[in-house]
Order: sequence, then C-alpha cells, then structure tokens
Amino acid sequence: MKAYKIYISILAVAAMASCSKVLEKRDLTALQSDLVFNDSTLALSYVDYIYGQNLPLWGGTAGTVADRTDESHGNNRYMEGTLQINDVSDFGTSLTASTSPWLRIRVINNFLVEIEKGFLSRSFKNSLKGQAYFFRAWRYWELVKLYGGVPLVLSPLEAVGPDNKELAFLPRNKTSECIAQIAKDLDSAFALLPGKWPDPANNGVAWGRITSGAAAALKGRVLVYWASPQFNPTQQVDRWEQAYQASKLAKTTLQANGFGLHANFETMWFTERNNPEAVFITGFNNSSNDQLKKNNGYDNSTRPAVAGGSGGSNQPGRMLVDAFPMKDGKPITGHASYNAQTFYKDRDPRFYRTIAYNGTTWTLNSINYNRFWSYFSSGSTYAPFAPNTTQTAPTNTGFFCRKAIDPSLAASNVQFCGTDWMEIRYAEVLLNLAEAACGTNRLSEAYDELKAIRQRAGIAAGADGLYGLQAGMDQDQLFKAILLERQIELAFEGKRYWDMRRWKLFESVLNGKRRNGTTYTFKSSATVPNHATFLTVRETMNFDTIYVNNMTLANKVMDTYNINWKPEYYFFALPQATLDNNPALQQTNGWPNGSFDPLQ
Amino acid sequence: MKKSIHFRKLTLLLVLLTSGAVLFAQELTVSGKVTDKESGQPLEGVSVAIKSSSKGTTTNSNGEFILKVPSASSVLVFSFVGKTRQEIPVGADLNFNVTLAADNSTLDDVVVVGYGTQRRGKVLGAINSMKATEFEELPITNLGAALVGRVPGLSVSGGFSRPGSNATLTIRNPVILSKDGGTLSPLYVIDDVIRTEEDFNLLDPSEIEDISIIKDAAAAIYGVRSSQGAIVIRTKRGKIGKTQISFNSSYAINNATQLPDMMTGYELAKYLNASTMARRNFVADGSTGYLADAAYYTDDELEYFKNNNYNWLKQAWKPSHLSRHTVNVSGGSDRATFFAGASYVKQDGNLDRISIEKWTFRASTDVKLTNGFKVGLAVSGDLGRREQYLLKQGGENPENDMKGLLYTPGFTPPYIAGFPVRLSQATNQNTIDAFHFFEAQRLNNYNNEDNNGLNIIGNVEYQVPFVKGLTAKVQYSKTLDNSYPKQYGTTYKLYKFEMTGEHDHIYTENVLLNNTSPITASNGNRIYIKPSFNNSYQFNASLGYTGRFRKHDISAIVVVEQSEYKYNDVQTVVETPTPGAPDDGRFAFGEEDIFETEKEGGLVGYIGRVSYSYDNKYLAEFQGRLDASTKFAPENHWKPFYSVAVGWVISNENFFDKMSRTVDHLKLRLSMGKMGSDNTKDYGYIQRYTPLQNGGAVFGGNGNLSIGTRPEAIPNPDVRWDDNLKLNGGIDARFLKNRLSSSLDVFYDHRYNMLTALTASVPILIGSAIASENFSTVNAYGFEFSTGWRDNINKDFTYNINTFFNWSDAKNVKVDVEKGKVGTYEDPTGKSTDMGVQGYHYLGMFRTQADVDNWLSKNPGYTLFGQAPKPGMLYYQDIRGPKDPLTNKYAAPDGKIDGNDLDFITNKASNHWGFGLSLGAGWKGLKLDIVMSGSFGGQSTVEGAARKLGTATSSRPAFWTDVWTPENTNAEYPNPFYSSSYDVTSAFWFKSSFNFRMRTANLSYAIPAAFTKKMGFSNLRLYVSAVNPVNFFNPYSYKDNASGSFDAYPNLRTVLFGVNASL
Repeated sequence: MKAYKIYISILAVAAMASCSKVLEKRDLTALQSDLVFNDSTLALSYVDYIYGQNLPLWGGTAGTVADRTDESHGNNRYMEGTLQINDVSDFGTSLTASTSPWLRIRVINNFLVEIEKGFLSRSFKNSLKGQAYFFRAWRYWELVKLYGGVPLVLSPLEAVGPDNKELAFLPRNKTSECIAQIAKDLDSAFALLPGKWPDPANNGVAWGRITSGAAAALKGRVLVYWASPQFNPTQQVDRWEQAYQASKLAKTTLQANGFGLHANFETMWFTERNNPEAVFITGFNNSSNDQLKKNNGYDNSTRPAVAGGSGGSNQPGRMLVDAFPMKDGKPITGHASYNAQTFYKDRDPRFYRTIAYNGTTWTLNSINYNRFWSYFSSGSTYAPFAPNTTQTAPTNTGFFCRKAIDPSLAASNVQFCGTDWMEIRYAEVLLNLAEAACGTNRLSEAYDELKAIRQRAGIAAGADGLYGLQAGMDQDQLFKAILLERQIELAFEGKRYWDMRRWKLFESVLNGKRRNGTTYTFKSSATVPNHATFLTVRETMNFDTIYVNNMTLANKVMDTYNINWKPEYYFFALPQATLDNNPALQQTNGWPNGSFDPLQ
Repeated sequence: MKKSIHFRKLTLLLVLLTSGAVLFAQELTVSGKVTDKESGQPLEGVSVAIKSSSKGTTTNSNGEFILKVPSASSVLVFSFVGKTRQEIPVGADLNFNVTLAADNSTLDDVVVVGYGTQRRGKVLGAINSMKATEFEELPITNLGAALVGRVPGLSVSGGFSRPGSNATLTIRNPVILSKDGGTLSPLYVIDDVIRTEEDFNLLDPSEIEDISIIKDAAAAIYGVRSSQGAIVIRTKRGKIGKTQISFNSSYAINNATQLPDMMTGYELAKYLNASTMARRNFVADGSTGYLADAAYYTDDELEYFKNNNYNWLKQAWKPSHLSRHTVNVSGGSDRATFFAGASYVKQDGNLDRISIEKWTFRASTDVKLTNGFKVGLAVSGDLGRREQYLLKQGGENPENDMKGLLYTPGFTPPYIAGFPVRLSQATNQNTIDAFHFFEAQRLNNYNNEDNNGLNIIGNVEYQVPFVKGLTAKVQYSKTLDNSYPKQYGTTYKLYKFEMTGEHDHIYTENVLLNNTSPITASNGNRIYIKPSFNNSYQFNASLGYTGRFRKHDISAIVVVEQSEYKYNDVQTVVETPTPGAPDDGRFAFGEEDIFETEKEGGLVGYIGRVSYSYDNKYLAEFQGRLDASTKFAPENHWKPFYSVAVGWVISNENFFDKMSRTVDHLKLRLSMGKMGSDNTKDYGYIQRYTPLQNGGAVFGGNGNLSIGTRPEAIPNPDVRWDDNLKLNGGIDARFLKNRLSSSLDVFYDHRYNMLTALTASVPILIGSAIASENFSTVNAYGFEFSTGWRDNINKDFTYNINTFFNWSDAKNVKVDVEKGKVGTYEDPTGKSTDMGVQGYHYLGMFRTQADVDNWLSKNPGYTLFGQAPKPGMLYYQDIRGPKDPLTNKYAAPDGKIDGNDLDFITNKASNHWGFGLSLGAGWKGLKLDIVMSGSFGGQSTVEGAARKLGTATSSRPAFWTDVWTPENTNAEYPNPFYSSSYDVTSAFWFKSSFNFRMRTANLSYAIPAAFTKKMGFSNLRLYVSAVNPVNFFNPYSYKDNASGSFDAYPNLRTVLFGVNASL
C-alpha cells in the first residue's frame, strides 16, 4: 500500500516537472504568414526576393553568349552541332533546385494568393502585385523563347499527398496560350504599376523597380519575337500588328515618364539613377561585403588582363568588326574610303565604343593609354603595349570588347564592379518599334526610329538626312537594315544570339564557316629598322603610317571545326530528367520522340 | 574450496532468513590469504571490505590480510582490478583462502542496456558490449574510430585522417529518406542521458567502463531517435577497495599510409600537349596548328621542366605527433566510493598549424547515506581546441589545403626570389586553382574552434522499505556546451614574373610590378566568430523492482523522462582585417554583420520494462515507451514504441545434461519491436518564411542588396512519426569449457511510412520542396556471425582468436521514383537500395583511324555523346535508343551513345560483406592484440576528381602519363582532350573494392612485479601500438584505397609508444 503511494507521488513529481510547457515550443528560426503579409516591410521584402530570383545576369538570363554568334568565337556544342537533349536544362530538372523556374514561379503565385489574405492597403497591395505579375511574365517568356509552349501554372499547386501530386502532372500549353498569358500578365502589371516610382533624392531606393513602361516594353519585345520567323514562319501580319501596338504603347508610356535615348552611347552605362535609357535593369553594386554585394562579373571577365581582368571573354571576332559601317553610316563593302590595312579608320563612332583594336586610345583604371598595343613583336612574342608593363595574356582574336567597361575602376576593384545591367534599354524599344512598323508596312516610321538611333550614335546625317541608310528600302531590305542596326547597337548585350534565332540566321551566317580574328605582327621598315627602335617612336609616330609600314595583318582562324548549327536548335529539347519526372510533357518536335509543335 | 563457500553462503542465508532479529554479536577477527586463480601467486593490494560499512583493509605482499569484523553475519567483499569480485559471508570459519579469477567469464558479465544492466547470459537483444580496456591504449583521438573492426554490424568510416575529423558510426545499414533533420547515426546514451555524437567522440577511453552497441529492438526503450540503434556508454565509477591511482602516458607519430602520386611538371606539360594536339586536330603547323598554340609546351620548355620540378605537397607535408596522458584515481569503501580522472590529448597535423587538443575530466562519488538510500554525483567536462586552416578560395572546404597542394602543377614554383607566384592567370582568383597554400599558411589564416562542455549528473536512489526489491530513483542531468569558432582570413599578394621559353612558360627571376602584378587574392578577407551556447537538461524519475518467487525472476522498471534544450548562437563578421595587424576584430575596418540563431525543443517520454525468467530457462521481456516530439503538430506529438523479446536457454534444460560436457551454454532468442523516428526537419507542419539578408536585389543605383523573404518548403500538416518494425533472431552458444563461443544474429527491419522528402515522384511544376511525408517502405536485412576461441596453453601462455562475418542489404518496397522511370531498368522499386554502379558498357579504345573507320563501317552514324568517334577516344556499347515517354519503353539501339545507354554495370556498388579478425596472445607479461577487418562485394571506381581533364593550373594523378597520341597508340589511357568520352563511369575505371587491412596492433609488456615493487608501482607496463599498420591489398597505384578521393587528407598510419603505471 505504501509502495503504491510512493509510486504515485514519484509520478506526481515527474508529472509536475513535465508540465505541458516542455512540449510548447516555437519555431524561433522562421516567420509565419500572418506576420509576413500584414507588414509592409516584410511584404516588400518578399517582392524583393522575387526580384533577386528573377533579375537577369549581365547580357540577359543566359549571359552575353557571344560565343554562339558572329560576335565572338568559342567551342560549344551549339556551334559544333553536338547539342544533347540535356544541355538546355533551363526548364528545370529537379524539384528543389534553386535555379528551377517553377520554384520562382511558385514564389510569385504564392505571393499573389497570400497578399490578398493580409490587411495591407489596396493601393500598396496593387503596387506589389504589379511587380509580381511582371516577373511571372518575364519568367514564362524566358522559358517560351527556349522551348515554345510550357505548362501554365498560375496558382500555387497543392502538393501533399498522392492525389494532389497526380493533379500537378500538367502538359505543355500551346505556345500561343503562353504568349497570351504573358501578354495578360504584362497588361496587369501595366495597369497596376506607376510610370515612374517616387524617388526622392536622399532616399533613392525605388530606382530599379519595375515601371508600367518596363511592362509595356517587355510586351513589345515578346510580341516582336512572336511575330518573327522562328515563331511565325508564315509571317501572319496580325502578329506584327500586335507587336506594333505594344511597342508603340511602350514608347509613348516611357516618353511620358521621362525615358528616352541617353545622349551619350558610351557613358550611358555609368549613369545609374534616373538614366533615361534604362527601362528594365538589374542593379549591381560595388560592395565587397559577402552578404551585401552583388557585383557584375561582365566587366571583370571582359576587360584586358592588364587592367585587372582576364581578357578571356567577349573578344570581338572579325565578323562583328566588319559589320560596323563607316562614319557616314554606309557599309564598308565597296566603300571608297575603306582600306583593309587601316580598317579602323573613319568607322561608325559606336565601333570605337565597342571594339578595342591594336593601338586603341583607351582609358582604363583611370590611366589614359595613348595607344593600347596588342601586336606581336615577332613570331609568338607578345609586345609590351605600354611603357613599363607587359601584356602577357594576349587577346586571341586581336580585339577586346570595350563596351560598358568602366574606365575609372581601379584594377583591384574590378572584381567588385557595380555597373548596372540594362536588360531593356530605350534604344531596343525603338528598334522593336521599327521592326514591328516594318512588319506592318509602316516603313517611314521604321526609318524614323533607325535614324534616331543613328543620330544618337553620332553618324553624320548626310545630305539626304538618312544617316547612311539606303533610301527607298523595301520591307525585306528594311528588316535586314534593322537587324544590322541591332547587331551593332546592341553588340555584346546578349541580344544577337536571340536575334539570330528568331530570324533563323545561323545557317546563312555561320554554318560551314570558322570564325576569324586578326593578328598584328611588327615588321621593320626603312625608318623603323627594328622593334627596339619602334618602341621609342610608336607613341608619337603617325598611327596610319605604323599600320601601313610596320604592321603585318593576318587572318587567324579561331574555330577548330566548321560550324554546324542544326535546325532543331530553334526550339530546344526538354531534358530527359524533366520528361522522366512528368510524362505528361511532350518532347519538342525535331528531337527524339518529339511530338510537341512549338509553332501552335 | 568452492563447496565450502557455498556451504557458508547457505548457512548465512538461513541465518538471515530465519532470524529477523539478530541481536548484538561479538566482534571477530578474521584473516586469510588471496591468490590468483590463474597463476596461483599471492595477490597484493586486494581490497577486503566489510559489506555495508566503511571498514576494510588490503592484502600485503604475501596476499595476506587480517581484519576485525562486527559479527559472524558480516560479509567480506574481495575486489581487485581485472578479477571477479567475490562476496563471502564470515560465518563460523575465521580463516579464508580466497582465489580470485580473471574477470572474463563473460556469461556473468554485466551488459549495459537501456536504463539498467543485465547479465550477458540473460540478454535477449542483439547487443555487443566491450570494455574500454580493449582499446584504451590505441592512438586514436575520437572514440568512434576505436571501434573499427571490433563489432559485427557496426560500420565505422573515417576518423583516421585529418586531426579533428571524427569517425562516423552506423549500425546495420540504416536508411533515411528525409532530406534534413534526420540522421543515420545511432543514438548515444552516456550514463542514461541522451547525448550527442560529438559528446561521444569527446570521451576519453580512460573514462569509460564499458560500451554496449544495441542493434535491434532492444533499443526501443529509448523510443525517439533509437530506430537506428543505440550506443550506450557507462563511465567509470569508484570501486570498493584500496585507492588505485593509474597513469598512462603515450607518444605517437602519424604519417600518411601513402601520399597521392601526382604527375611531375614535365609529365603534366606532356599531358597538356597531348590535349592541345587533339584540340588542334593533330595538325602541327600553320595558324591552326598546335605548334602555334600558346598553350603548347615547346621542347626547350619541356627540357627545363625535367630538371625543375616542385612537389608542393612534399614541401608542406611532415610526420605529425600525438601525445596522450591520463590519470585516474579510484577507490572507496562500501559506504562511499569515488572516481576522478583526467586526460589530455594533443595531436598536431602533417601540415603546420593543424592540430587538436583535448582535456577531459570526470569526478564522481556514490554515497550510501543510510541503509537503502544512495546519492550519486558526477561532474564531467571537456575542453577542446581544434586548429585548421581557413580555406575559402574555391568554396570553403577544409580539404582545400590538400587540393591546393596537389593540384598545383610541378612546373610552378611556390616562391621566386621571395615573391609568391600567381598560380592562375584567370581573373577569378576565387578558385582552388588560384589558391596559394603557403601564403595562407604564412599568414596564419585559420579556422579554429574552442569547445567546452560541462555535464553534471545528480541522482538519488532509494530502496523502498517494506517492499523488497523496489527501488526509486531520480536523476537530473544538466549539460552546458559552449563553442567558440573563429575564422581569420586575409588577402595576400601574388606576383607575375617575366616569362621565358619559346611559349613563355618558364618563370624567370624578374618579378613584374605593374597594375596586374601583384594581384590580390582573397582568402575570405574577414574575421568570423560564431560563439554558441547550448543548454539542456534531462530529468528521469524511475521506479524499479526485482524479485524472485521460487523459480520466477521478475524485474520491472517504470521511468518518466523529460528533456529540453535551448540553443543560441551569434555569428559576427568583420571584413577586411588590416594586413599585418593581429587577428583581432578591432583591427578590421570593413563591413560588419551580426546574425543570431535560436532554437529550442523538448521531449517527454514514459517508459516501462518488465523482464521475466522462469528457472533461468525461459526468458521474456517487454519494453514500452510513449514519446512526444515537438517536430510535429501538437495532435501528432505522441507515439508509443514497444518491443517484446523471448529467449530459451536450452543448456539449462535437464535433457541437455548429456551434452553439457561440450556445450556450456546455448540460448535461442527472438525479439520484435515497433520503433519509429522523427527523422525530419522541425516544424514541417507549418508554412515558414525566412528573411535573407542578401535575398533581395540592388535598388537605388548602388545600394546594398535588400532583404528578401523566402517561403520555405510546402508544409505537411499531417507529418508524424514513421514506423519501423524490427525483428531479430539469435543464437548464443559456448562450447568446450567456455573456450569456444559463437553467436549468430539474423535481422529484418521493416521500415514503413518512412518520413520521406519526396522529390522524384513530385511534378517539378509544383516548384518547391515539400515537408517530409510518411511515404516510403524499405526492408533491411542481414546477419552477423561471430565466433571466438580463448584458451591458455599453460599458465604463462594465453591466446584468443575472434572473428566475425556480416552481411546486410535492403530492398526498396515503396520509394520515391520518377513516373518516367517506372518499369525501366532505373526503377528502384522491388530492388536493392544498392542497385549497383550505373555507367556505360565499355568496349575499348579507338587506337587508329582504321579502328574508327572499321567501327563506323559496322556502326554507321555512331556518335559518342554527340561527337563523331576519333582515335584516342574510349567507346561504349549502344544498348538502347530514346525512351518513349508514353510507354516508358526504350527504342532499339540507335547508334548514338548518350544517357539512354547507361546501365547498372555491376550488381552492387558498395561492399555488403564485412569481416573482422582479432588475434590476441599473452606470454607472461607480454601481450599482443591485433585487429584486422575488411569488406568486399561492391565495386570501386577511379574517382571523378582523378578522371577530370587536367589543366595548366590543375594537375592530375600520375597514371595520366601514358595517354594516347598518334605516336603512342598503345597508351593505357585515352587522349585527355576527349574528356566527354572518358569522364563517365564505365568498366574502364573499375578497381577492386576488396579491402583488408590491419586496423590496430598493440604489444605490451608488464614489467614483472619483482621490479615494479621496488620502484613503488603495483603495475607497470610498456606498450607499442599502431593504427593502420598494414594494408594487405590496394588496387590503386596513386593513393591508399582507404583514403577516399586522392585529393583529400590521406589515411594516416600511427605508431605509438606508451607506458601505463598503477600505484
């Protein structure tokens, strides 16, 4: 009996000690919905997370991809013609990968649902939702331009339990349905977003947010693609008409909100806040703090090694060099004042802002290089390019890309470059409008936009006021002129690859060829008998004389194989892991077992 | 002799039972002699104590003693280290001749089980136990590694290489399928308190009494987290007897069993030339030829490299040292006992500035306050310090020291004229190729951690009067752990030099000083400190009962257990430490950040066990536990666990008498348990959002990254405990006077409703991880067989051999699988969890263009991963065409080698068979113990890091010297340029997975008592001990097969000299 009492009392002691608090624990490491969507700062930080997830890199989501175009060179499966179905994995091959587009789309869809459950003001909710809609359109567009139609997921899918999972095995939607949804989301964004965010000078935290103009401009871009031969092989004119209307609205909206062409083609990159050219940007900063930094890697990898970079990327090839017109806007072919030995003379001013050749005058690291040399003194010996320095990592093609390379950045800070990326800049809006106008036979309007671009570029207007454009072009000629203008205006901005895709240019421009560069080798002359002498006079000698008398220019073959782009690359394959995951997805036509027609 | 003791015992029992009221008794003087049963020699220093009193004495050098006892009913307790304790009632005879036997009659050994102990002969579970004496002299700094090769079914990996990296223990091929929050590790219980794996590894063997490894449902008593088995440790407590002081001191040298063998600079340059030639299509001249390629090493350069090679690793590597010192004091009377011990271990690394240092201390006392009322108090703690490098270039990874040293080509000198050499010309210096180990070493870039832990256990035990055998016990344990990790990373300058040689590949002594040289490499460039504090307690209250009614033995225990923890850490970062200034945050003036993390959790459990035996023949045991976990929603907190076990000691049956001459003991046992685990992330049942400091974007031109708030995994409100049904059947047998012993266990684990982080079967379109669901079913099974022989040839020579053999495998019954793989060769359902090595069927290497042409004529359009075949490529069998997404059927071979031609090319990938072999021998004072173990049945392959294409900044193992070129068509290895053709898994890369090595060896010599006595020691031993002394089989030319990837810290061989003394 007593033992029983002791037993009871011990249990009682134990029970008291283990009062229910032991099991009442909170999650101290995270927030819950009621907090996030009822607090304006937290709700905004959710939207900022959407920005962080979706903003493109320099050159666009895929980067500059100059090695897949006539801009530069480089070994890759696209050019080699050995692309495998798993190589374009942007569709997402894993449920949990942070790079999966579906994860990013879910974050947006979740936001659009949850924000409505909170009690923040209607206008605040709308301004946040507008940004979310924009990025949903952006994300879908980035998929559609690779694959054509993809499944449209417009609300967060239920996931727990086998039934919910079964419901989420969705097939691909038609490309046309996707384009319609993208346009619809962009219309929503356009309606909900301001044309310009209030951006008080001392609290300029809104610069870089999406505006209604950006939404309109993206819609213009999407619809121009949709009208292009890749998506529109039969050239249905109504698509060009839609593209025209959207591009026109983009231009007028942006104009009304103070956007326009930046006066200076070179320095526009370094104007950050309130840059009229910057329609849709990815902000970068020059912080070196691990947690706070977002540095742009483009400058670092593109500039010559001597200036703190590697010089390894984006080296212009000869095709691009030759694409630039002369300073009167006329092409070099058959031009009276063009000479192959002095190819750099009297070119389009954009040539000098885009391409550095042997002997370029260039400011780097705030040092004014009178002549930035990149020739060989003999055989394979790379010559000193400036007093007391040696450029030991030569440019392979003979050229460096100098677009958006910050001249004032110190070598040690190149890795922390903060130049913002303009994913959509005003010039593109005008070029989109020109193309859509051309597609709808509004040829003079197309001329006007091209002229505006060329005027800003600094090309002489010429007696006919056409800035070197050929007079009286028909629709086909004008399309070609617009594409050329895009090639040079937007060089190394990651646009050329997509232009070549949507106009299906790879076969005609690249296939069967190898891309070239140029080598310059010192040669002696009567007045400059050897390289040692040359070193003493090269800074002051007449530049053209140097090229004519002391430089041997030779063609250098860059590719080790003939380019072999295949027609199925215009719409990529879904990776095997994706198909394995979801058998409801059809493979793209042109690939093994392909049954999905991206043209519908 | 034996009879007389029995007789006296019996009389005493009678006296005790019949006379409830023994009145005053006369004080008596007893005397006697204690001898060693094995040697027959007198034993000195044997404690002779009077039970339930503080009085006692010890034997003299002749083994004799004299002692006054209060009455004839007193009980004498004889105890001596290493001998079986004996209790003898005084009775009428006042002269005692006692022999003490060696304590190896394991049937009566006490085995620690959950919340109590059991005699080995009555154990019903699959439990292995061992004394710490078996391994306490080994030169091992983490306890887990000491268990390697000793226990069937316990796998031990790691723990023998980098100082401070601990071994990982797993029991019987466990499985987890949830992504985070789960563990394959068993539960660690130290003195009845659930502790962490780290706490376990911090224990010094000198503090430990014994260890039990519970492999089956017997662990159900621990409920939560015990479904991967449990490792239960009992630490040393004071023992009744003369105060014993023992010291142990040892010193060891560690070195790599084999340093990775890499290409020299000359060899690498030749290899790279072979690659460049292939890239240039083997065309020598012209603008597209390899001779004009700046990457090509010209003859003059090659000649130079031949005579100028720098082996970075050899320059940095040296033998390292380990020293260990322990001291223990133990003693006490029947009234109170005490134990105090301390240990100190220091091991430095084979690279300067790597080390660990560890202090442990432990003190405990057990006091009988009054009859039946006992109080115990134990305090233990550890102080540890680990030093290693901070290596952040190429991603923070402690192995980057080895990678940096091994990858750097031999043609690159570390320093020229005192200037550190820039290793990679790439812009991005944040890669492993650009990492300059010696500069990081010189600048003291460290990642150190100081730890201290304190554990206090108090317990009160009360033998409840009036109910015989009923004991109440309350135990409270408090554990406080602090750690103070600090990282210090700087920047350093690297220089370019004027280059010479035809293609500018040879360094000259002329350093370049311009705007690209020096370049600043950043190895973190910050000071990071993360002090943390973990505060936990565990409270147990229990009521135990043991009783015997005729032939029925019953014991039972009821326990309430409750624990809570609270964890806090603060992470602080200060960037840009001033170069040259001390490693102190006050001298860093960059950005500062602080983050804080807090976590808490609680557990409550109600536990019970009833054990029953009838006449020591029929045994049964029931265990149950009700546990709550705060990982789940409140309505899913609770879960019951239970186990049932039965046993039959056949050898105790009457009919067995005839066989008892050869069979001493034979027991059959069966156990079944319903277990479960909460192996998943906390709070999976609610939608969580986390704000990330760098999760947003840059606004306002040049602003800092804004905060971004991220939604976490999709919640599963119904997530709950998973289920695990464990079955185990076993036979224990002893033969031939206990000299031969054998044990066989067969187990079957049926795990169902397993917490699974589903990914494969979830449509990617859902777009988020999902909290674990109770989904999968996996059955694991296997057996363990062990047998041992122990005998002595004469009284001087003893020997023993123990072996074990085990096998385990598991089968996927229901697992997460992609819809598109259902029914294909990749579908894991119904197959082993180890489906084998997946790769391509290797056919050969194209040696000549004729080979290729010949092949193409038979296989038109054949491509290897999209590429047309070329001489110097490996090629594979085309076994399938593309898969039809509607039927999941593969098309016929399509002449293209791609992902569709993958196959499982071996039955098993990992070794499922394991064996161990321990040998022991003793001759007089000499003793030798050897532990060997091995495994087989799987398939090893050359690791990915060794297969990858080498570059001018990243060297590769030496086997790559023989590569295909048009001049060397009979090469063993393909041309390095065609990496997509060879950097895949295939039989080309196979190596045998059989491994067999001597794990440890220990030779000791006890200096004869005659000498030690003069020196004042009761015992003095010298010993030599080795870890990893012999590897019997290594199929790899360039590394030790136990080292893992060649670019990791290699497996170490340790040789130790030690001395052990007792006073």
